[in-house]
Amino acid sequence: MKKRRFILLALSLIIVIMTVGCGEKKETINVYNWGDYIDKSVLKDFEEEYGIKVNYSMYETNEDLYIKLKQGGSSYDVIFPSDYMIERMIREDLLVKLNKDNIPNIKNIDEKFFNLDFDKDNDYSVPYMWGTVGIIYNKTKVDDVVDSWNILWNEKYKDEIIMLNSQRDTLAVALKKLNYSMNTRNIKELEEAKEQLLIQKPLVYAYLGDEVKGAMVSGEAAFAVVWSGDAVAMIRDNPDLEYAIPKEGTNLWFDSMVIPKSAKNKEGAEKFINFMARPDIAARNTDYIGYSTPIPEAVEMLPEDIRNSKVAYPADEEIENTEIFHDPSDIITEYDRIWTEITSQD
Amino acid sequence: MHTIELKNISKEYNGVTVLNDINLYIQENEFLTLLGPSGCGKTTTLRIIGGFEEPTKGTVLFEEKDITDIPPYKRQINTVFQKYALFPHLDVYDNIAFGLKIKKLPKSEIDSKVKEMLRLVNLQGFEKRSIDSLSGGQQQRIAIARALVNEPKVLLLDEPLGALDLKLRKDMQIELKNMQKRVGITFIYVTHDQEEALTMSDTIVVMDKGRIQQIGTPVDIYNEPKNAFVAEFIGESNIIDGIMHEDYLVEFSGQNFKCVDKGFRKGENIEVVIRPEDIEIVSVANGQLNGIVKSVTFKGVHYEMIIESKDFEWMIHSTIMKEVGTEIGMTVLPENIHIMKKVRAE
Amino acid sequence: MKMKKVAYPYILWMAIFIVIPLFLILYFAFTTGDSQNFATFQFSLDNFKRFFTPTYLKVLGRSVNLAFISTIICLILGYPLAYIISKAEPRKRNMMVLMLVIPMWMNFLLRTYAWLTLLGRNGFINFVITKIGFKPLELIYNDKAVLLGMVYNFLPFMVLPIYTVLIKIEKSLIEAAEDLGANKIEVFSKVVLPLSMPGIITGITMVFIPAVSTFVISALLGGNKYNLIGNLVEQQFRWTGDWHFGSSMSIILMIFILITMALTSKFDKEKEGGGGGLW
Repeated sequence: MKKRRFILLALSLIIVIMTVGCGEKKETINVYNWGDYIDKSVLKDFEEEYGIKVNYSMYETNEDLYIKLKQGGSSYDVIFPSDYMIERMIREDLLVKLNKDNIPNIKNIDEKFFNLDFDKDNDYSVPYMWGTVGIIYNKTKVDDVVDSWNILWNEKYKDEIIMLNSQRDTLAVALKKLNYSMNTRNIKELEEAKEQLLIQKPLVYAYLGDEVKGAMVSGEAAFAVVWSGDAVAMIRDNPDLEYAIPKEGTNLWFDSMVIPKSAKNKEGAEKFINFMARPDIAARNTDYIGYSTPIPEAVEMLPEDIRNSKVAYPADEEIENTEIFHDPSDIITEYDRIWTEITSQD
Repeated sequence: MHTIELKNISKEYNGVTVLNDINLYIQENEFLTLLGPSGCGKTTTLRIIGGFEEPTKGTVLFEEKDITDIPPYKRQINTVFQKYALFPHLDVYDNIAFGLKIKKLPKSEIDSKVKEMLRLVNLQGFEKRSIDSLSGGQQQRIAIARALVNEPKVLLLDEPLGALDLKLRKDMQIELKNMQKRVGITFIYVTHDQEEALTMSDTIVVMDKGRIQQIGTPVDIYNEPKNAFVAEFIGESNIIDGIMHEDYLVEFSGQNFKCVDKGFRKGENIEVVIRPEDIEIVSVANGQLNGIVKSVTFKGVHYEMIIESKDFEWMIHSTIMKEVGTEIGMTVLPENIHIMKKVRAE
Repeated sequence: MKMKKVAYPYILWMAIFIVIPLFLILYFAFTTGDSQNFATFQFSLDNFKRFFTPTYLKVLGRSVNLAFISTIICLILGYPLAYIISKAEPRKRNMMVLMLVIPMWMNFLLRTYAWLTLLGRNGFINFVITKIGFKPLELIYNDKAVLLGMVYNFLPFMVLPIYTVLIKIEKSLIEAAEDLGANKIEVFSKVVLPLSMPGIITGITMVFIPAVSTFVISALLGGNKYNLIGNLVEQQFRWTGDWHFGSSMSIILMIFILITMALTSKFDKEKEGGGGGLW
């Protein structure tokens, strides 16, 4: 009898502990972000402050993110799409409108980054990082002034030019060179841009993705088209490099935080977004990854050289004739054809 | 002039002596067989003649010319291999014609020669057949045709009948012998089957452990084996110790017998060899020796009986059958008693 | 068709992982619509029409051409290599095969990346060259680099099948040929070469198929300047998002490969000495 009672007691104890333990299960949010795009220590701080566990995973491109979302396999609470992708997601009704009362830190964002075309009134998104696209060049290899896209067509620098392995960004360079809009849907203009790129191709060393960073730092080429955040990191590693925004204008881009409709923990998501918009948190992130924060108070907290960097924080005049990408939608077929012709031409 | 002569041929493999000072000559039109158990060196000898092995010491002469260093493709010798080695990717015609095509003979000549060969081996009409559609016997005949069509002066045959069933083998033995007579060239034949050797050969070379044990005609070797090895290898033998009292008189089994050998020392210890078929069964009273039948085995051609006498077990081959347990008498004619020198040192 | 019970799991596997995906691709290829939403699919031949335009056909042509050249080079380099290895003594032979195969244990992508560090302007080769006193060479981001990458990656697939067939050739066949008067060259051309044909055919197939569909090599070593049909397919699935177009390209590529395989197997049959075993 004693034995049986003991077993019963032990069993019930185990069950209690298990259920209590289950009950103690933490609240979680699933955060899906670009690779290498956050100071991971801020996640720990968030978990401590709010008692919410963060499941953090990463993607490589907006398109990968989009497909993941549409396939519906996993649910994410916070994601960080770029401008044109947000435009598409809003149009396809994939996002949740934010309850701004839950995100008081939204006021920290610089005014000039509000009400952008892709999300008027910021109903859906809070900017996370921003930047430009420009020319990074090696001072020791270039004796001309670098202030125009034209320099990338200069025969003098044959085989010293690296272009981006990206349909839109490279087409945008050619379109800006011709003073067209980088969002043009005019086939004639696109064809002209294509011609320009075909003329340029013999001068191009390579169309690279991430490898461009290593290539420029080790001095393999004179020019490359890069994002400003990458430029900051590259210059840090090789002081011979400099970054310039051409006068014809360039792409201004934003990565913002949004909440998908399929999110399971919308409140937790808003808490997270709010947390990321805190100046000290934003400062840590920006300092770590090198990209530019849209929160002026955070900029103040940065080390002097970055704060004053024209690369990371260009003056307003410099970014006057920048454009933000729109969602290409059906014109993407033309982009595809043009890009195919360029990359497969002998 | 000898067609082939081997002078002091020795062969060593990894420190093991495979052939030890072989001296041999082979005549024109001779059917010579190298006979011996596995590992005796007969195949190695054949391969040295063919040029597939190089002797460690010694020379090979062909019509008195030294061919030791000449590669196989330059020797006027052809080989029938143990597993036929027919080319699987060629049909019967192309297999046979192979050597002729190498010699770049005109097509009409090749045609007629091949046809003639097929007639010789009794496989007319088989030109277009593929090799894997042929039976073992047919393949073997094609192998012979392929070798003979080149009209070599010497044909080497490496145990060619080993894979055939008994009846076919016996038929082929006779066919081969006839072929050799018809074609009129030297055949050098390797086998471990002493019956085969006795059937086909003009000359037999008995080999053991890399040495030649005896060379002679089939009759000589059978009737006058030079040593115990030959006696035991060729046919069945009764070998018993004896003493040579004087010429033509030998004592064994406690009896004196008249025999036909001479030239031994008086009282020399020798060995007596008597073939089982040479012992006659007589009544006990008329027998020179007697004994009791221990076992009887029916062999088709004769009965093989083991007789236990007081100091020896005799083997008898006879068409007369005596039951187990019967006491019988045995006699043997003087010309059937063979005397061998006692050679027990190896 | 009688089937062993043991075969059932395999049949299931084939169905799930081969047959169904194949049908999916076919389904995508013959429809248009929003790739992410099955409900919008409509039957259409547009994808194929779009492909059969000069822009895209040219890419197919270049891919096939490059794959063809790579295969030929692999054959020219691979056969002698296989031959040499097959003639070595057994212990050395296994060593040599091992050395050939070990790089294949490493990830394909990593191996191709490794070439970047060798061939780059400031890479190892140029480092050595400039130390000796010569001017640095342009070894990367050109079509030679892509060809090099293809041959390097696919050479073992040519060598191994040929080697396997060569070592199976019975020594007695060689001796028979020599016996019948063939010198070393004739032995090779009349016996060894014809008998190694099955290995050659296998090697060609195993090189050509991955070569024609590769996209990593042209991206990494060619700087995306010589994009091939594999790159186009990747483009559709990862950037443009038009899975229908991408699927149609995959189907076209598959058909191409099937045609090639049919041609090579026909060649193999002819060499077998005319319908063996039917008489």
